[in-house]
Amino acid sequence: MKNLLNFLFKYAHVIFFILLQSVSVTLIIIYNNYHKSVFISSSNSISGLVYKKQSEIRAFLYLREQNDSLVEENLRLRNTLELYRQEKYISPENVLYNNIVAKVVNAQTNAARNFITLNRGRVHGISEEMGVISANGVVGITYLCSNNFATVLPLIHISSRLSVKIEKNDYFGSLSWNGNNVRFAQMYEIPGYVNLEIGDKIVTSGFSAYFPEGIPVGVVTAFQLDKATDFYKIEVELFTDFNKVNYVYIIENTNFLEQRELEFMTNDK
Amino acid sequence: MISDYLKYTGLFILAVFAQVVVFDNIYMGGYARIFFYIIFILSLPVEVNRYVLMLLGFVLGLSIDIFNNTPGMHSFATVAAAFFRPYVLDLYAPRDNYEPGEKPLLYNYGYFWFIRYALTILLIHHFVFYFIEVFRFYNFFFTFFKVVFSSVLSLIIIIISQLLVIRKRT
Repeated sequence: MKNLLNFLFKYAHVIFFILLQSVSVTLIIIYNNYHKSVFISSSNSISGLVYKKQSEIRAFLYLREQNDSLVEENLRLRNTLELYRQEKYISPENVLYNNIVAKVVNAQTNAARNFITLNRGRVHGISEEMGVISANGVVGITYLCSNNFATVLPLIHISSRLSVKIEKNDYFGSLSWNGNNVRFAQMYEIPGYVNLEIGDKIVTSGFSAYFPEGIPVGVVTAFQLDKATDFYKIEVELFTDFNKVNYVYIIENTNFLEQRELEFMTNDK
Repeated sequence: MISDYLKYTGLFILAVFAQVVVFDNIYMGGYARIFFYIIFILSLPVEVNRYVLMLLGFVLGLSIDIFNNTPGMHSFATVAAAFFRPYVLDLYAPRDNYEPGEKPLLYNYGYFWFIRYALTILLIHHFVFYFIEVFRFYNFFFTFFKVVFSSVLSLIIIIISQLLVIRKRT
């Protein structure tokens, strides 16, 4: 306290100076139109900045609730959209896909055989061998289920195989993962005469019972023609970033069992 | 004693009057203006109290503002000049310090001393004034040029006025 008073006493004339100048500046800003407008516009920009920061912080604090409500809305929209999907992709069979939302509670990305764990299980309607997608694209297929949890075999597992196609010309191939970069998967079985460009979108072909047709998978970033077999090896950058996959939708194919049984019978014959 | 107060009051009125009637109307194409009224701040005795000096500067500036219809601008610049005057005096103090009672005028400490002292105060005042007028750092060099040009002109006028009015003590 004494130091403060000493400081004030020592610099009293500076304080007086500042006081007089404040009076002058106030007079300037109030009574001169030009200065008034400059002051108002600059103070508006400063207060605008403060309000912006404030709203950003507030938005951040409410992020979790916002997220949950958005996911719920997404789910409703997806299920509604599913009803219209049949009309766009002419499918003779009466296949209806139903969506269930789940949150990722554990995700592994550093191994060759990675797994993802979800917080939904049998109780919620999940069973083995159901397709799993995120808001961005395909995630994988459910592998094992317990009452409240399920594990997913993702695209970034070296045993994963997905039937995919090039969106623009419908040529289909097989997507797998070589274990190197979790952002990139490899697509095979595209013949060398196919018109292919970097940036082409790769989607699910609809040939597997796990996924409906047209679910985004990734984009072509590179391709190489194997001279020996005359097939392309395509590098696909996945839409789903497995490093930050959070909410997923599990697709229930209501006719799955029937289709599977038929396919098994066909293979056995 | 009283006559000193009277003298300074007279100088105050004269400075404001001369500025408003004569020098405010001298336009040099917008490049420079002459601020003669600073002579009041320059002429106050060396020993004057800092607070009184600043207060006088404020009142002087405000008086000019009233006639110029620019409330606050001149007072801002003049208070700034008044604030720095003691520091400038210390900076240019002659070897044996100032004689008590001697006023900081043209003849008393030499021409060169006066030019340095007056020009410094004038530069400070004009710099503050022109930048407050613009209220931003836009067009910095043009404004700076105005500052320098105006200071030199004001200095010339102040020197001439002293030469004309004050009787040199032989």
